[in-house]
Amino acid sequence: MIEFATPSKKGNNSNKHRYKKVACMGRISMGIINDISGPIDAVNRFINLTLKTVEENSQSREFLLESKAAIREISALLKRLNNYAKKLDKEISEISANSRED
Amino acid sequence: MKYPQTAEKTNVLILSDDRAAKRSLYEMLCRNGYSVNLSDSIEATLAHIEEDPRQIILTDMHATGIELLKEVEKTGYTPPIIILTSYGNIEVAIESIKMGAFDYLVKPVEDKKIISVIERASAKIPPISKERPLTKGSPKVKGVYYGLVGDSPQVKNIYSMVDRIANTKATVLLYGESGTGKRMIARAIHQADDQRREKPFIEVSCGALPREIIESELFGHTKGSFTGAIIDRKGRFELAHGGTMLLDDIDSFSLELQVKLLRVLQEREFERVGDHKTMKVDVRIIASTNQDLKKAVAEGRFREDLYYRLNVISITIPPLRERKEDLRSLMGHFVSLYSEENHKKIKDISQETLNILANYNWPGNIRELENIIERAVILDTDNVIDKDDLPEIIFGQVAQYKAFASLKDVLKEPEKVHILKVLKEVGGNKKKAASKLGVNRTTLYNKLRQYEIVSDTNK
Repeated sequence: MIEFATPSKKGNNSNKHRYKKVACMGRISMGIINDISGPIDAVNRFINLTLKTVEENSQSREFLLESKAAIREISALLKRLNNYAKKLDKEISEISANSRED
Repeated sequence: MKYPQTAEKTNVLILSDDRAAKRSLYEMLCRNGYSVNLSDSIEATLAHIEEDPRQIILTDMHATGIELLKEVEKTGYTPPIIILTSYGNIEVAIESIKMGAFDYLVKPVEDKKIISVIERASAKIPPISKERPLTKGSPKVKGVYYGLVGDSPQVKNIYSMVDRIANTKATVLLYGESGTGKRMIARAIHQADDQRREKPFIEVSCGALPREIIESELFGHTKGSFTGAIIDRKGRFELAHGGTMLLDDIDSFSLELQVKLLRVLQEREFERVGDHKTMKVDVRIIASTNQDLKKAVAEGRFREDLYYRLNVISITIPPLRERKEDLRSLMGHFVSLYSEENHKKIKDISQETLNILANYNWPGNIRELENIIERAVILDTDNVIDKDDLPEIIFGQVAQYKAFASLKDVLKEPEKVHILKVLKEVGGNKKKAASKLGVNRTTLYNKLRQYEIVSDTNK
């Protein structure tokens, strides 16, 4: 299980550089999520197509169903990662805005 | 590989630049009985739409989704667009929905979800069942003529006129209020024409297209002829070659464009924007309007020579309030259409509902009736359409018409409003108000008493 840590809002100006880096990471994550989602989606569909061609109770079917379950896990992970990246992006933006006001 | 395709299913166009996505969607949709086309650019997609506007577009190009929506809007067609997006781009997808996309799906997405959205989108495409009578075969069913519904004498006259002019080249001018079915009659003329029915029927909503692009839309353009002209593009006249073209809202043509249209009507030739090469086309032109073109000619907004050129045959389509004998057959037609689409089994319309609908004035004509029936079919729970399934607006107007039985009664409300307005203008001073209204003070006091208007000043 992956645990995501959120940086504290109580930063000072010396932390700004670090926040920028973290914000950048958040955006990169969103880009990666986007790039991974496409192939995962296609693989999932190819598995569905293949499932229709294999016999019931065969080992191939079992492996394909396992693969589908793994894809569901990756999908859930992508969703969590996306939520985290967005939250991070928002919080860092707020911190940067507050720093400017100071 | 060829898959069996179900004739009933709508065509789907996949716009994607990702090989795996395109292939997997193609295979899945084909196996589910859809006829699928592939495209990898907006330009190619637009060409597909021009060829067949009745298809659903499925795209995973979220970055170009908004651009696609803008470009599709310019074509005047409204195919449902479904955006496949990822968690990271939901904002773009939501923006697309605001701009008119049908729906969005987040990848990875299960096949049944895609099918379900496509099914919903199919229902938004102008129903095939409406078009079905328009195809070759046996177009005339009792009460239905090339997709037109009705048996009233006025409508029968239109059927007869369509029959007589179908196989001619005559330009036709259709007059009728909004929602009376001008487009359906134009289609009927096209379908009744033995030479043209297999060729394109192109419709241009002149009023909906921005003035700056209408010329290039109609006549096409060459690459570089103006900013944004990145490729050579055929105009609607070229696309309609051999077939029929409906110019809806012809009154919205600029005087400059009217000259160009006149030339097409007289010589059947034109030039693309930015090109000197003259092109010849064989297109039957049907124009339609809800305005008085004679008046527009008198006011100098419409060219007289174009008016006469268009008005070779003119057909006036009566508003629904003047052909209420067709209400029943129209209702029956729409009830069966929307029952089928919404998987409902509507058996009847209550007598009370029929009476209410018969007393309504139908300002929005057949389009309004269609929307009201669609709504009623969707909301109905007991397979009988009754008054609870009708929108409030109907009751408002019916009640209004009952209350205002005479001309005197009808004039009361605007009179009251006007008196109140004048009183407000003069700060409640009755002497000034009476003078402005052109009546003496006693008459004004009588009117105030009659309309129970209480004035806060006694000037």
